[in-house]
Amino acid sequence: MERADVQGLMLFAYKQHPRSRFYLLDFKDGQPREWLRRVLTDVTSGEEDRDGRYRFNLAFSARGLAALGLDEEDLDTFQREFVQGMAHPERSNVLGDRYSDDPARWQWGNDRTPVDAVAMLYARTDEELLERASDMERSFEKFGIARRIEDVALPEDGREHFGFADGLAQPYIRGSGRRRQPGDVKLATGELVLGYPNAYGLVTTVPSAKRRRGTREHPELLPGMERVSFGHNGTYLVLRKLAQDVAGFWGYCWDAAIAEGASDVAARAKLIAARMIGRWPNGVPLVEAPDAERAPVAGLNDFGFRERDPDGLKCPFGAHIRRANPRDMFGEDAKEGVHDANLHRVVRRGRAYGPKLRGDTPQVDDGVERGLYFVALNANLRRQFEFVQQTWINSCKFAGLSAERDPLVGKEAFDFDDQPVPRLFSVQARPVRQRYEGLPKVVQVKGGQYFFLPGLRALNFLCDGSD
Amino acid sequence: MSVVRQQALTVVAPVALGQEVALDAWLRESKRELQRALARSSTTHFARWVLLPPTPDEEGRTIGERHLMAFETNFDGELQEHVADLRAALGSLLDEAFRGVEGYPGCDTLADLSDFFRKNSLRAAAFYIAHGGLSVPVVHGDAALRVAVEARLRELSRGARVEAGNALALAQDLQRVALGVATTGGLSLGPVERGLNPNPPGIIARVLLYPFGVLLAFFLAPFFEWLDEQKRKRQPSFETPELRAKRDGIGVEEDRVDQNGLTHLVALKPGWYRRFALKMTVNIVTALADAGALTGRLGGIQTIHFARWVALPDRRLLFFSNYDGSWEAYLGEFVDKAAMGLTMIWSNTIWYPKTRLLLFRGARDEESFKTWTRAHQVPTQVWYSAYPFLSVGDVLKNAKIRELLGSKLDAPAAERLLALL
Repeated sequence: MERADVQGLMLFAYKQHPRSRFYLLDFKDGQPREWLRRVLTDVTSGEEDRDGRYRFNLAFSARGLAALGLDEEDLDTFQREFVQGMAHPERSNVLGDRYSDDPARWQWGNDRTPVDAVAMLYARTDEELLERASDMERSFEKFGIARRIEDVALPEDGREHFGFADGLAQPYIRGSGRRRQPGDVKLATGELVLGYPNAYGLVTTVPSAKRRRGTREHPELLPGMERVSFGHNGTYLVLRKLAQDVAGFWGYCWDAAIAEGASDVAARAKLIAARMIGRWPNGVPLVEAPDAERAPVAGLNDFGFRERDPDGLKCPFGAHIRRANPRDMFGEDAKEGVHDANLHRVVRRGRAYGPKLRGDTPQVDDGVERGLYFVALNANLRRQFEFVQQTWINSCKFAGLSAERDPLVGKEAFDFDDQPVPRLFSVQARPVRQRYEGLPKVVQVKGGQYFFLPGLRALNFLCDGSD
Repeated sequence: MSVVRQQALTVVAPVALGQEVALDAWLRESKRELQRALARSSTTHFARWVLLPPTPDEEGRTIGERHLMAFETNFDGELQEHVADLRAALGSLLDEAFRGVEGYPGCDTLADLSDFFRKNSLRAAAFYIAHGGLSVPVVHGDAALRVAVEARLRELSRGARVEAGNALALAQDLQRVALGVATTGGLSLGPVERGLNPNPPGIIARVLLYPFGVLLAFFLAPFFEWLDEQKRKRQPSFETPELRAKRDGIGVEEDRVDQNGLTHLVALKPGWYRRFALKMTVNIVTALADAGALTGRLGGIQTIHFARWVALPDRRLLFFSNYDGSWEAYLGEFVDKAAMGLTMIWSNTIWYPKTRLLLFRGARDEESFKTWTRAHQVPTQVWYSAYPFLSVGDVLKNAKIRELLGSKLDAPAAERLLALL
């Protein structure tokens, strides 16, 4: 992998830079190319400067690339999903963004509030972030670019808003030069970076663009064509703003614990919540500790489901971590299962927004919006990100289940006559499964778009050419 | 009880020139009405109306001057009864749905209608059934039993855990409820005779039917694959603006329920060899499909309810499938689990990804295969499923539950029953 040409976000989560600001840009009638020239040298590459105070990365929607001079023929070489954009009705079918998640209701990313690019600025402290942000915001003003500011951060305790350790299962990318943690599966480079062999051992089509003149170094020319390999060392970036109803989630678990007549309601509520997630708040998977939270012993990503819990008696089949990554569950044997699951992995770079709702089991809402800025990187939107959403997270038929979706992020279900179907969650047990009903929808999509995260030479290319 | 067989009906007839636009519009508009009417039919598992447009051959010449109307169903029992059942369910809607179709006699007399269907029906080259022997009423009955049993469990749990130390007592309670429902609803408990051949003729046996043919097909493959390669060099892309525009219309209709229907139409490569090779490979794939019908799996895939290939007289190959879940998951399974079987058949059609010996590469070239499949898909005007919210897994599981509910339960059987819920 050409680490000097890929953007740093590809390889790093920037854990040393927990404070961050995402700018959603609308180029309008401004001068995006001039602006890009101005910030170009700030962009962080995969050869991270270890002393750097800031990290900065840039990704563009199809509309943004068009504004920077890519024409229809160029855009046709990108994945259709990207060109259509996340708010396209076809994508909404696939992602289940209907009813309360309908793009028409989003804060941004629909036709009403289009987004041309996302600029992601990361810093070590709030002071340093604000210092750099004011520079950045002046540059937007100067070049007539409209922006929406979203402050996001890595939570200090490593736990997302519902209170669970997050970001534990990340694949290891071959050629990334990163250290592999126990249990991290190895993924072919081409699953993350375009221009390299993917999980099938094949190099897929790399988006290309008509050649331009310029003094900067551009991506390589395609053999025998007047086109450059624009997408080489780039990838697709999925951005989704997901609001979390923390009080709704814990309130439901608490009520369910009371309805069960639990003697220790708090402990029972925590168990119910952990079963929906598949991990305890501290990240220990239920397959290792099915009854009570305990301190982690092994790596938190170093486990499978098939051997330890074939009947879902420890970690329910419908639990969020099974749906997000079934590991070795499917296939004829564990090896085939892992191989098949690995065709659908993404690298996650999400960050939280909004203040934490305080308390161990917070059940009273404070009326403040909070949630996750979900960021995922993958080389194939349809086979990776969208597949996980559609075939695992939001499928009623996942792992032999019949009528339930992900208890956390699953969508509302409606029958053929558009009547709502109650949201369920089953906990496999002996002699018979237990079923929770009437789960609230605790995650709402507030915005989203597909972006392209180009390599650095491709960013040079975008800066050049006639204006 | 006698065995109810599942069959496929494929009626293909030309639409009078100029009529296809109005027919297309009417079908799209009346989709819900037709689906509701078909729900009254007791013999129809899946059905669709699809207008097959003229499509290009390898040289870019158009095959077919007129649109073809393809009406297809997967049905129970004998054709005569099925047509009568359709006529009763659809009534005068049938006349609208076949307006402008050449030779359509109207639905006034059953004999004429049957005659039209029979005369214009094409035999499937290869046909796969996941849950053979389970008729529509049985599938619906099993689902109703499941609902009743789940409701009883809900009643017992009162929003909390089911307090039952004894699996047998609980299972017998559910059995009593099921018996009550079965009696009032006229449903049967216990096993249904499915008439599956427990020892379908294997691949070897099929191949032995045509020992020379199959050998010859494979023997000649390298030469014709070399010819394809030369052609590919001259014209590397099959993408045309028309293909792209058509593809855009398909996605919006997909993924509305838990199942999807896929219609795919592509021309055979020119020359006698491809027609001959297709005939040979279809035999092998049929053997695989028969073997799969026992387990509800086709080459390791358990998400296909019914699928079939039909060769049109104009040298085009039609593929219908009714599958669970998303297109991407379905195509992914093709690539991962069934690449060889598909490649054997589709390698004989135009612009199919490069193959080796009719078997290798082809569908294993993931990106090219998916692009090719999408490019040759045809938008389906009306698609109907009798049980759009049941997966193949659900149908087979519900059948197992029904069998156990109809059996004399002992402790292990009770545990098996409860584990299925």
